[in-house]
Amino acid sequence: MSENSAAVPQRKALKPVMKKKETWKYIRKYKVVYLLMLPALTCFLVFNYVPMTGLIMAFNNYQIGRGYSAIFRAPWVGFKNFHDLFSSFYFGRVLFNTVWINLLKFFWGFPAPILLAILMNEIKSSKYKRTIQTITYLPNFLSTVVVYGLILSMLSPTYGLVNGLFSAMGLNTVFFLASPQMFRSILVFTDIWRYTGFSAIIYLAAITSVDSELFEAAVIDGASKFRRIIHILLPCISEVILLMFLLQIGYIMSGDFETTFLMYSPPVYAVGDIIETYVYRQGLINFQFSFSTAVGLFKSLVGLVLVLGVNQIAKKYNKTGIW
Amino acid sequence: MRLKRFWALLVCVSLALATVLAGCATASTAPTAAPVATTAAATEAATPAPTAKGEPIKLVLEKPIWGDKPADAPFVKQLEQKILEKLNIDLTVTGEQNPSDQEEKAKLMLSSGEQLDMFNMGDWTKYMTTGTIIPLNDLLNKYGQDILNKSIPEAIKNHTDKDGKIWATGYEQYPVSIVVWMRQDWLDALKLQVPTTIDEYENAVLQMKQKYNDQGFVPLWPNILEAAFAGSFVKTSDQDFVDTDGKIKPYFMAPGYTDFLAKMADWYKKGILHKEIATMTSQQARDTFNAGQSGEIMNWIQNVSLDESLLQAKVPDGKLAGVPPLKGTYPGCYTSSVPWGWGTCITASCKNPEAAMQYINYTLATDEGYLLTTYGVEGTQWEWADQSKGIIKELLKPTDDLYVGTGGENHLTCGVLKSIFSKYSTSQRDMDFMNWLNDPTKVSTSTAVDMNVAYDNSKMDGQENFAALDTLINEAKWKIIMGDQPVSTWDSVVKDWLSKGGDKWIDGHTAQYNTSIGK
Repeated sequence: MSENSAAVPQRKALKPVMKKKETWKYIRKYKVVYLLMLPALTCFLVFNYVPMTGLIMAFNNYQIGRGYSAIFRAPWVGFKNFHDLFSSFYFGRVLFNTVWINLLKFFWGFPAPILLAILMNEIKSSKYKRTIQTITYLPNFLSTVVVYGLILSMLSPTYGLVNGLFSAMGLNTVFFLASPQMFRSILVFTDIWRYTGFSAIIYLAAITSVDSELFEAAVIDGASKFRRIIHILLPCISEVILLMFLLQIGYIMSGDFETTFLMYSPPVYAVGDIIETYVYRQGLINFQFSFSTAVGLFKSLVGLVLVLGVNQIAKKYNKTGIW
Repeated sequence: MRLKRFWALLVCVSLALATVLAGCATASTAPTAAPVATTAAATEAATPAPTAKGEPIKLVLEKPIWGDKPADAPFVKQLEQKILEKLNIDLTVTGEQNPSDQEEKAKLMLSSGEQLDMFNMGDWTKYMTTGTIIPLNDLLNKYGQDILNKSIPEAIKNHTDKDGKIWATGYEQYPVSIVVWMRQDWLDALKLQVPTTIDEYENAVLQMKQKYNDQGFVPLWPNILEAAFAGSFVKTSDQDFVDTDGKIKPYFMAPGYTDFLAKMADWYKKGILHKEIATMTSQQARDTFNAGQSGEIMNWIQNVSLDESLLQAKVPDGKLAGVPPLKGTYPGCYTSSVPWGWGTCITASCKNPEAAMQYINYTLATDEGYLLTTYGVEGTQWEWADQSKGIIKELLKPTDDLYVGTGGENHLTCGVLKSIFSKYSTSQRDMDFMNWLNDPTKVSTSTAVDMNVAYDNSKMDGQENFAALDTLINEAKWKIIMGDQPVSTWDSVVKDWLSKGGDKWIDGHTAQYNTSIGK
């Protein structure tokens, strides 16, 4: 904490010193380093910023089939697409579903990798630890279609493993993927299963950087394993947890299109239809590209506001943030 | 030190250049803002048609939906080469393998400015109103005479707007393209005839369930259920209709639709419909059927020979029988909107519409082109079994790289004309079946009253909600069928639909329908 507090005034003090001329002088001096950065910057520019020009579609009436430049030539409609969006009877449902599913994922999924990392940290055998780590982060590298296939082979009412067990026990089979009561839970479970192992790597790295002397001192003081985790480990990795928290908050309005699209069907639209699938149907099926862009822009803006807001709150109360 | 700096600088600049070039690679190959050749003048001003000499003309075609091999399959590459030799057209076939939405790829390519010259679609009116495709009249007159001479006039009419502009070439093969198929061998073993009524069908499937653990009816996509069975309960089947108040109404408001829903809910409960019908993809449906797990499928007629041979790989005695429309409250009918609405379009961004039309004319309306793109190369993929009857013998097995398939499994076709299509088959049985399908006294069809109306949704009030309204209906329909909601709620579902913008759908469609018929 003290290091951070010292770093802030130091940065402020540097600002007036680095005048424009000196900045250029500084860049010239380290031009090779700056040039090395150029490919990465170019990539960002080409793939992340240039496509943003397409956001103009949210304010005009773009029609497909006339090339990229037609995006800029389409008739201007101002905020009509946003008006249509907010007056649509259906948008409230997809907005609620998106936020609610993400909150569920956040609630159950955010602590999961922290818990896994702490548990793995307690494993003494490095061979066993590596095996567990590999097994848990492997699902992250499976394509969504493969994941869907696995889920289906588990939950299908005709050939699924779970329903096979139900039948063997004389119980009725359940069509899990078409059940409005179960669908969100399946999405949340799939998300946790896929990403927990991989996310735990970050926390494991943070844990290894914690000074082991702190734990040794606590052991001498008679602190139990639980106390050591609560009072030493978690505070020491709190900045990483906060960082991950902030990054995830930005995605609270972003649903997992691929998984939802593969799994959902008309019987679960009421609980599973999210902004992304709505955008897909409006844009690609019904040619309303401009309307879809307006939805996407709205979603991104809310995400931006959330990240900025939570970052400010974190800086105010925790004296640290992403920037 | 200086040398080191020089090399470091060189590496950095090279990397930056490589990145920029990589980033721009797609843009350089994609066409620039394409001229919208919507008039005859624009068409004439375009590049001359391909000749035997000169640079080959590059064309990109999105493969039809029933081409269920990858677009880069060896036989596709082989046939692309044949097209190059024949027409001097450097053809590239693109598209997903077994897509859930065949037009999705085309829409993505069109919106991103990628080259796409020809694509197959289900409703030309959507593309016409957005300016995505061009009218074909002049091109047909110059390079598509075979199409004009050999097409059924009604098929051309179905792709013509009220101003006389032709927007697509037709899939006219038969009034019905998708029908219900049953396991003939199971029916034979149970000493049952192919059902002709709803009750007979129900009885047959229940017996099949008992004896063969039949998992029930599987459709190529869930919403085709109406096309299969609604005609037995609703006079207008799954088509929009003109109600007594003179307004265009959607199929689910027609009298008798609730009876259809009640029967489907009953069938779902009894297992006559597959348990996973609401979530099945077309490939899952075909796999289930071909594995011998299900005895009934709603399938394209083009798929049937192939699926029967795939079934026979597991069940050697497996045979299929086409089911005629089943008699219920009404005599029953299959929908004819699918084949008539389908067609091949030329995009507004196509730089060589003349070459595209030449290609379409060759593959669609000449025997040579049709045989090449449908069955492959004579002597390699097929030979004549009986040329006088048009019976073809396949020379390759489905496991061979260059295997094309039996008629339906094609990737380079641009529709089919009945006058060509009906001349060839891989078996006399298939040919007889096609003739049966084409006999209106045996297979009745329903045609929408507004089939030729090019609705422009963008000019309708409340159109931004139409997709959501569809979702609302779909959701309630499947909840009722699957037993999560009673059938008695259907009236309130329709009322809800009307109050949330369905009334605007009706008014918008009625107004444009009335204009199109000159009312």
